[in-house]
Amino acid sequence: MSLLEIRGLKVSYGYVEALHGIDMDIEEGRVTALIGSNGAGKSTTIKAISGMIRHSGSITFSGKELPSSSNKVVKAGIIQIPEGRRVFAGLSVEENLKLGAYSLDGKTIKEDLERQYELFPRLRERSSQDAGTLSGGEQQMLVIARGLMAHPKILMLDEPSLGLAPIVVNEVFRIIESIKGAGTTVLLVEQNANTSLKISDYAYVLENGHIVKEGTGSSLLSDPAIAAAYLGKRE
Amino acid sequence: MFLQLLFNGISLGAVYALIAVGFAIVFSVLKFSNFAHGGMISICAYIGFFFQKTVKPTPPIWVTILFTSLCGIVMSLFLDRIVYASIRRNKSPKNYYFLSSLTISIIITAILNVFFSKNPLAYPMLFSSTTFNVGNIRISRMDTMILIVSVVLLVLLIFLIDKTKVGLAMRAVSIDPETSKLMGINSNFIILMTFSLAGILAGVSGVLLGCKYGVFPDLGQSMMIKGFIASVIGGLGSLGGAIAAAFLLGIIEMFWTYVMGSLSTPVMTFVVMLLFLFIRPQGISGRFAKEKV
Ligand SMILES: Nc1ncnc2c1ncn2[C@@H]1O[C@H](COP(=O)(O)OP(=O)(O)OP(=O)(O)O)[C@@H](O)[C@H]1O
Ligand SMILES: [Mg+2]
Repeated sequence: MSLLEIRGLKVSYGYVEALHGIDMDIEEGRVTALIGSNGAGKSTTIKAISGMIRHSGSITFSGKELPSSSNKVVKAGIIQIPEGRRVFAGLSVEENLKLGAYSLDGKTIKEDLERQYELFPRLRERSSQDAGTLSGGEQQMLVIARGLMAHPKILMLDEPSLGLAPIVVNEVFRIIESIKGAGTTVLLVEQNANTSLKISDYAYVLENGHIVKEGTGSSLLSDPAIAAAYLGKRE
Repeated sequence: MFLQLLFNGISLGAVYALIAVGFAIVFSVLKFSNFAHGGMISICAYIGFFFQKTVKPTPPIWVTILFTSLCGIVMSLFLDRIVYASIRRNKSPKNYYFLSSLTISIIITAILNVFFSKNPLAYPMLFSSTTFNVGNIRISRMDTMILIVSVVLLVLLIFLIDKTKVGLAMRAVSIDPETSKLMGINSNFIILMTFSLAGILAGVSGVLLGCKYGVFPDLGQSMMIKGFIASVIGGLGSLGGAIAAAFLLGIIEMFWTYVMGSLSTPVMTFVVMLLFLFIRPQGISGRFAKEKV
């Protein structure tokens, strides 16, 4: 049994169906990648899991039906790091981190903050700075750290490398590997297919709301069709 | 004379601050100006009045304030349930909030007008003597009581918002409701908290205003305008800005009335608001001003 099992997941925006019934398995302790081009439905999938939008089909977590309201999903330990670096501008870096731990009882908050500051030293230097004034790279680090504050069982990252300089992108992927190293299950949504396939154990390819391909990261990397469509190589 | 006017101005400003914060708190979380607050203040003033008058032995004023605040919470939540919740559910435009909150205030005032006359009902005397002297300035006991109660409430509220987990969650929702959900914040709970706080503020300001001006149907609506203006000057949705602006407004009003007479006071308030919007359209705090109604 996988940690998260998605069966026949459908999502509609108004009358337009964005996901046409997809199946996915997310294995415990692994990095699972979901790749696809713009508008394929990657964010929609993550939002459906998070309980941010209504869906049909079933999502089970450790064998039990996942609750449909977002606060209960978070409480269960499924944490989404949304696309576009959504920090709370106007709140300090530390307040942002504390919000990440909102679903916990607050007993471990000191140690948790300390752990994130060790992982992300730049955040410690800026702990009282307005999060809205951080650089793009720092904001991305902050939202990842904020997600980790919740002790996630599954961490879902939506395009964490988008719009970052190559050196920061490498940093982000290094962090994702260390998150995996710590035993956290990761669902990674990326357009940067090359790097994400390299660090993922298993991957799904989404096109227009359908899963069109799946396989281990390395098998997809060597698949000529994938290479042509997503890796910028010629067949 | 100067010190006395200043003191009265601060005391008046403190009540305006309660009203302004009642607005600002709902505005910052739900992004609409809750004009029903005025009607709520009127009802609360009557509730406090009859509680104080009928309960025997006559309760101390803080018991009345407490009781009225509880009623304020209940009414505020009731209002949210029957009116605003359905607007939220249907994702209707913000204008709906504006229109319905204004309508509610008007309806409440109209109903009160049916049952009560326009002549103010005076709260029973709270103090055996009405003033005391500090040096050579005469200070009204009533104004002192109002100032103390308001400041205590404001301090508690600021503590709640700035230092507690719920307060942090409220600020997060006011900044970005979608991302707040991803933190596991239950937006319904935050909305409940917001309306409860607004209810408490309506309850306390209702009793205090009733003590000061007597109780009449238009009490809340007329005072609400001052609170609204303060929250606009302060930068809608900003608590600190609203409080600062409310004190400023109270003080200016006192001095203006002393110099120019009370007839022109309402004009003064609007002039101050317009001046402020002109000089500093983003409000004292510089946030949220673009979304004002
Ligand atoms: N709130 C919405 N209302 C209507 N349609 C939407 C909404 N959000 C997404 N869609 C549509 O659903 C489809 C999938 O969108 P989604 O955001 O999931 O794509 P994505 O794979 O995350 O793309 P990107 O890589 O650009 O982020 C798109 O056609 C999009 O236009
Ligand atoms: Mg997306």
